[in-house]
Amino acid sequence: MATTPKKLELHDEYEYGFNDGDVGVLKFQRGLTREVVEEISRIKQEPAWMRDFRLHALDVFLKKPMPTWGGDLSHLDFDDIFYYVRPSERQGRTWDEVPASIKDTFERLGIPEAERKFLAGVSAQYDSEVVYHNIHRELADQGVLFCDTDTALREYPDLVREYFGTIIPPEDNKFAALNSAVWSGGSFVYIPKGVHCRIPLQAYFRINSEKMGQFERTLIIADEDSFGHYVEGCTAPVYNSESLHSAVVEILVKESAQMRYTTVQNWAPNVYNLVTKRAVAQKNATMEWVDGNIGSKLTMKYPSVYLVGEGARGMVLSIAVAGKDQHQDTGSKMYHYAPNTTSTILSKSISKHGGKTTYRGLVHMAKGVEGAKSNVKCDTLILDQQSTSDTIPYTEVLDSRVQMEHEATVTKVSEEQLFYLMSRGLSEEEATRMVVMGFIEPFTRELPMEFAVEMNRLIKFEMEGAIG
Amino acid sequence: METSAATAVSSELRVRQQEFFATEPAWHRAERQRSLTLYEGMPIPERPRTPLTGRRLEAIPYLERRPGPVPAGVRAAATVLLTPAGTADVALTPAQTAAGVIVMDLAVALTQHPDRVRQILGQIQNDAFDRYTALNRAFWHPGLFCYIPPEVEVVDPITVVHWLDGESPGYLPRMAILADEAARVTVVETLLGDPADLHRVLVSEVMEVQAREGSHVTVAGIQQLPPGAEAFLRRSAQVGKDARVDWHTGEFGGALSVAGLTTNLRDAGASMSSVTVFYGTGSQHQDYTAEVVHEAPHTRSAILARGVMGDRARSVFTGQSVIKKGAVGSDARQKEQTLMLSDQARADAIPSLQIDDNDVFAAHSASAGPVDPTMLYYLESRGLEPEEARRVVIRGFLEPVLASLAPASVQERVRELVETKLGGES
Repeated sequence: MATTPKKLELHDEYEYGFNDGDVGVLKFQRGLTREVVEEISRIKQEPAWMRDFRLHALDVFLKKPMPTWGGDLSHLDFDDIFYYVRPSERQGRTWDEVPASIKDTFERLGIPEAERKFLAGVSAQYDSEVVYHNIHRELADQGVLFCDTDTALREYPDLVREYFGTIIPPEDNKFAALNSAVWSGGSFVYIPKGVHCRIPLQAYFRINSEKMGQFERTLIIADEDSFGHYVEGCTAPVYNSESLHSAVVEILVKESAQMRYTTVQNWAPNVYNLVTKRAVAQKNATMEWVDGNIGSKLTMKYPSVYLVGEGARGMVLSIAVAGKDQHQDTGSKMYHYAPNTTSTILSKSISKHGGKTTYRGLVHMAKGVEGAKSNVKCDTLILDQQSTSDTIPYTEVLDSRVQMEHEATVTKVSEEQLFYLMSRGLSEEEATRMVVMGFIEPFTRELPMEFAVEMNRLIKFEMEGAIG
Repeated sequence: METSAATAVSSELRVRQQEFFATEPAWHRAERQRSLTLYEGMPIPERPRTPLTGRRLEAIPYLERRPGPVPAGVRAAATVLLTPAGTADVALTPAQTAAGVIVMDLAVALTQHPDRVRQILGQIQNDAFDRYTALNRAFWHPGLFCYIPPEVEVVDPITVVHWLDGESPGYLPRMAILADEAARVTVVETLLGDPADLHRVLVSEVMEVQAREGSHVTVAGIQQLPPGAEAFLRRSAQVGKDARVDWHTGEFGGALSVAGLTTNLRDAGASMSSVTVFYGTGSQHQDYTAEVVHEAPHTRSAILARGVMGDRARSVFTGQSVIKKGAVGSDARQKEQTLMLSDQARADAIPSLQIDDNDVFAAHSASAGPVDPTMLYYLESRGLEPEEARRVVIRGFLEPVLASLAPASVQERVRELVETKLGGES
């Protein structure tokens, strides 16, 4: 087996690193001012309450200090970012109307193919506006609302106003405040009472322009007894200057409803990915986050669930892969505020080529949450001597009638496993890849088929040249 | 105006410091002065889970000595007795003396063994760690110096008893333990006071341990301070090639206890273990940090803690295992478990790992939960009263950790303290 391991630089590995030239029709000056925020609101013809919400959020953003924990944010320059870019004048209604260059990008990302496979609706965010959107008729007939958040604000203003910013207020953190001030796009989903979406709702995000921030805002409401699965994927082309992605995702899972939110994120290695994701789960509701973080320069993301109703369940299943010059500072938070609530966190991290992974999580058991249970498991594989990993779990237990368990391990790829596989004729590289695939299998098996395939391909890609 | 008043207080403190320690060698008085400046420039440490703000250390007359009687039994049980008044006579066995073992008042050792003392004092624990360590370096008293010569094995444990006698408002002891190559020693330290003594006292202890190549040091610390005590305990060790340090800790007393343990595994083959039993009742607040830094290849660490939290007690356990780059083949483990007896109690755990090399193994686990009702049901079905059944379960929970405590005298003492706490449980 004389396969010479291919030595690839990370930038070479990034298959999606093509860009279409500057297609933006309307692009703001760099930097963030009150005028920029007002202009965004004006162009979008938003109601006054939203403009005021944005301006208030801007004040909060300017007042809040930068976080001193987590990753290195010292190179992030808020004045050197475009806060709003719109690629074409209007939203395409059918696939044929989408500009060819953009369509070409999506085709290379496999979007039309995915649609042919009966994905519920394709809502792909290309820069700041959703350029292509189609919702499956079956879901529309059931009363499911699935559109970009800007459209939702125009068409379902009452619904948006009732929930917008209630789960993650601008005061929550600096980046949530930034998003609240300049948000654009994102998905709005409303699943009515008792409706079960059998096929996943899917959106694909992509940052195109250089030095631009992407601030999508997603709001999902799963009404009582409903069931839904939202799938989000992200890629961005490679640029040398840094880009910022700062999303806010708010989810309300009402009584006995079940919601799953799947992300497979593969940002280019120059993107700061600073995302706030939070769900509130009411009585007997279930919220599941399936979160894959590959790529980006720095990711700080801690999907959380507030278990506020008795019997609510929260789950986070996540993987993080950090390569050269990358830092994945991820984890999850579970707040138990009601009796008999349960939570599970399974986190798998891989660091290689000098990358760094940090698991940072919290389990909080409030007083009076009799019968609450939480189980957290974090496993890390460090593939070479240049790479590092931190595990920082916080647990707070304020009640005696609960069970909290946490465990974590950090290891390298087991030499015994490698030896066994190599004795069966596999090269070291193949054997290592197989061990890594096995390590993340609990994650990939939870993904929809197309994503599992893409995930495996990405991991295989990332693993190229990981030996030696 | 305020500044000049503060300056006046500061210069008065300096004069008193120099008077108080006038007989010490000049080099150490200079260290004390330097630390006083450090102390005055530092804020109260910020601990998010143990809020200390509002504490005015300068308002505590920690230089005042108000001695009281020491019960005869306390004196008789110890190799050496330390009180706010000073370090009492040391009772070493003839064999220990013959082997060259030194156990003496640290203030005397400053003059008699300056070279050895300078190798350890302030070398293992940075004085500038926080305001309490700076305070200790500026005003430590009493102190104890232990030196074990190369290849000497001290069979009987050296037992050190701190007795908080009388009404002294401050107690700032300093311990320095130096185990030379291939030496073996066990030091048992007990922080004691009259349980009926309710007066407020600030305790700030610093212990430094140096375990040189091939040595083995066991340090057991039992904290059963009186209920008015606020204790800040810093214990630090530096472990040399193939040497080992074992910590055995029992935390039971005081109103507030902030105990920090730091072990540096500096050379290849060094290892450490830490076993902690804690039991909080009433409104006790117990904050423990166990930190280990693997700086060299093939170093091993195991941190184990089990605690019981009752009434309105609160515990914070922070474990930190750091494996530095190049510490290949190292193994770091942490395990922390808390049994919750009351809905008013609170237990926080932050068992973190910081790993900078890949050829290592690191793991941690933490758990918290109530007394298992099925266990109670089983025991009650065998005829045990509910209260007795509960005690059996609590004892059973602590047993694996109690059984690993050494030496035997410490294990026995900790068991007694657990029983005392169990008796007070309702």
